Amino acid sequence: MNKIILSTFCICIFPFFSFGQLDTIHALREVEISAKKIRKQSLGAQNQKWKIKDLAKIAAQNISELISSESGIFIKSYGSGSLATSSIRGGSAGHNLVLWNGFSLQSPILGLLDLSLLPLNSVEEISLQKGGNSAILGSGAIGGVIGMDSQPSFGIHRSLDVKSTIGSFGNYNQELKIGYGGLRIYGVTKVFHQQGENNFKYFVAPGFPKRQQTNAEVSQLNVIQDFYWKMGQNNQVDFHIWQQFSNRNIPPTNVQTKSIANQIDRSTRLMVDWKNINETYVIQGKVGFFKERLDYRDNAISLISLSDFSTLTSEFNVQKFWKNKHKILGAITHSLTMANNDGYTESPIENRSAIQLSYFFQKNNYKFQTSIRQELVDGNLIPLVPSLGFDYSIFSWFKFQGKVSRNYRIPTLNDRFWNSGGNKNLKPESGWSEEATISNPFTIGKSNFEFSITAFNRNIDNWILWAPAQGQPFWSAFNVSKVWSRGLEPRFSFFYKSKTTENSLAIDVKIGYDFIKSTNEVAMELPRREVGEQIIYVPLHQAFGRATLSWKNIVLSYQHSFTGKARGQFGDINSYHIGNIRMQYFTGWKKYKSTIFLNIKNSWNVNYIVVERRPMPGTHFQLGIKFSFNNFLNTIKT
Amino acid sequence: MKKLFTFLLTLSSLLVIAQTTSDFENYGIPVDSVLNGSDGVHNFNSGNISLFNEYFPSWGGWGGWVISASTDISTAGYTNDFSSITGGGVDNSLTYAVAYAPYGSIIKLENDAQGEIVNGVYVTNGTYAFLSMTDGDGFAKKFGGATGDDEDYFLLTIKKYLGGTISSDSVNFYLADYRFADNSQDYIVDEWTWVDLTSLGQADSLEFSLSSTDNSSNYGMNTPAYFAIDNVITSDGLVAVENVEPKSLFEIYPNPTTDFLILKKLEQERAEVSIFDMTGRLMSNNSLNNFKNEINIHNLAKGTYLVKVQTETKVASQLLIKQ
Repeated sequence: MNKIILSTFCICIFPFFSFGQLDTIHALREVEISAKKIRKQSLGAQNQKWKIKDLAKIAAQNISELISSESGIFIKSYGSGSLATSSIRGGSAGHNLVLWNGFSLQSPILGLLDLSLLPLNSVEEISLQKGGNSAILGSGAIGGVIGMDSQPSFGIHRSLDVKSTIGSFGNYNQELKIGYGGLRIYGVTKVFHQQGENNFKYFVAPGFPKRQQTNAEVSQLNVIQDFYWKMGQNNQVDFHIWQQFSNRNIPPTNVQTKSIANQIDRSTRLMVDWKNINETYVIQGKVGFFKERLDYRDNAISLISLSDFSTLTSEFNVQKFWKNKHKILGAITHSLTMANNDGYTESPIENRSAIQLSYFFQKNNYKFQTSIRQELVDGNLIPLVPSLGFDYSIFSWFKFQGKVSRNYRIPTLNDRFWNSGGNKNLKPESGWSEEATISNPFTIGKSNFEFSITAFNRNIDNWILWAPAQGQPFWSAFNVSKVWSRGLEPRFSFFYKSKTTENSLAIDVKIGYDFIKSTNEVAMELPRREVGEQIIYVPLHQAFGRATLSWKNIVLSYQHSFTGKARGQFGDINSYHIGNIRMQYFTGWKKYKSTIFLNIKNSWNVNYIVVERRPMPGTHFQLGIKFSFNNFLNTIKT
Repeated sequence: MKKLFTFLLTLSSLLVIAQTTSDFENYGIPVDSVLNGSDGVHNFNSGNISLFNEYFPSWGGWGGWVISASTDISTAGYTNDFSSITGGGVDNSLTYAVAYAPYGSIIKLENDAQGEIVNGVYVTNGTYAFLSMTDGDGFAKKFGGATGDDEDYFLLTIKKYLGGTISSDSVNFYLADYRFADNSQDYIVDEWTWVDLTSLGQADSLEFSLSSTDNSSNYGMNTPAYFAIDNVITSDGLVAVENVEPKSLFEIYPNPTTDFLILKKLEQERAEVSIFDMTGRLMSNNSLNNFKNEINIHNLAKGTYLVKVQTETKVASQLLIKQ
């Protein structure tokens, strides 16, 4: 996060500055932007970023909806308001890393994160790095990394954003964002509340009446406080606090009469980030404390399942630069996790320590980056993981990128400590991945085009599966499988803007297709696996497209996604097309701006499922209004 | 029943293929209690069979068999994994056995029953499986599916071992069957049902395995792998028993009767009572654990029946009229 702070600051605020005023900050910006490249990007791999303030054209309410519609990432959604996890390039949910300001949000108990619990506006920027990045970011960065980054808006004296949305199935969202500060301090308070009945009617079978979903109520409250403080010319300290409460009923499957199950998630996340920024080096230290509690109850079966964990993570890194050609980074990280779970006989404590080195070289039209990481988990060495990436702009209209890396995932606490079946002797899943991309950006008049195609290959050994233990009536975790994933990801984008003024006509088109072959390489009886068989919940074909038309105060956007047939637990899951429409009108007067929008989701009223037995809603609507007020400091404006 | 035993008359005694009923009442456990191995006992014996149990103290789980007197037929889910959907044993007896059989469960024949034919066993669903098939749960489907038209079944397959070799022949019993074109005929077994095992022939042990139409590639069968048994009737080979006058061995009253009869055992020896219809078909079989026993016969059609009481050394029969 920290490395983006100043760059964002510059992007947001610089137009208002006179150039003579802030030489120091200008200098810091360059240093900071350079530093950012080492860890925030995965050189040679494919990265996407979304500024939240620019997302008016997308009909997404949370991060899972954004990623699903904009990137071709397969989101395994259990239904409206229910659990949603990601699968990137044929991996499982545990093979993706979700970072909040650089620290992992993944539950060490489950090894995954419910993306439906992440409101879109909880941070200022969301990024997606596809491909392995364990050499820089550690365990779990195998399929890809979703980054959530908070960024300050120094120079805003007062700002207010209020947003309210009403939707089908009794859904209401309210958002409040209050910013305050000056040139050296900036604070922002964000409050998000969501509630919904989700009592949609879904298709059962031809000739049968629709069935109404029950016990699907959700409510969620997020309170986030960010505070940024520049101390002197070189130091900056950031504070982040994120309090989350989610109360969800768990709806029945479409082959279950009823459900009265309920799940409550509570989390508290605290982070302090300090950095000292100089012309030739940056020193950074940060500490995070995450505490989460999950309370699942199903009174129908007298089941109460409680679990919680606390993680204290710290990182210290030094980045050194030489004339913007050579850059090195050295980082030490440590995390201490303590967990409790009804399913464990002990309260495990997990210590992870890692040392990481990166070297970056840039000259003329090529860049090169290599990294290496060694991690120690409870005294056991994890395989050494290196990576090597390059970016070569052969011509201004033709670029070649590539990356080779070794990546790993440490077993979850459930894999290690669940009673019975947890296996403390599990090895980490690990393997090599390779990818290469050619891209062809070009401009014709006012139109910008880019074609690109990425090919990737990845092998993961020691893939952890739960299987029947020999001679025992329960299952255990074993390092039994191997998975080979490979694929092609062609992309096309087009952008046209008639004028540079606000009243211009703009057309923004993005199209992508993913071919992902992800196969089991070890045959097993149970769980049933055949060699060469596509792993479950990974469609072979996926495609997405979005076209946005902006003219004066109006934005019209249409998103379309195609998800091909996939194998499920019980058989094949049919392919489906989903369309989303967004219409938006905004108006402003001086410092005030208001926006009205309408989302029509699943606009073709398609009957589909993502996860077997979990019905999805047909066409539904979201109508919202947003009011914004921004008062920049007068001293900055002059 | 004519097929089941052969009478060989001698001067004052006869040779019969004796039968032993394993009804688990010998454990005498209180109502709503269970023997799940937590007391360290992992081998249950009743009549001439033995059942094996595994217990995992660290999480309270068990495998194999438990001896149960649970009456809970309403609690869904795995926390109620040792009750039968009948809430008791055959003919309202207290005790029965429940198997958790994800990979098969074994009944071993002991003593005189080893190597002999097994007559049969009463079977019903476990409550966990019954309610799961009726309503579905987070893992398993409601049988019939969303429309009621899915052709689901939950099948118990019984094979025998003899001389260390498993038989290719098997007896199949559908604990639930939704394959009927007319959905009103679909059923999930909710009462004790006799399963004749004589076709398997001589055996050293029996293997019970379950299969279902509800399977996932990751977890195998989703339907909870539980079923319950009671009154396993084994043959004990030819034994000589003295054919005696009924009044020297037992008394029954009232006779004629309607819904029940009282059977007084006059000897201390362990005894069994069998009721046959006039075609020789076995209608019920119970151990006589007390001197005075009440036997429920409300399920029997009106007519004349033969009540046979047999100890290890004596046998006597008397006609009974149900009005």
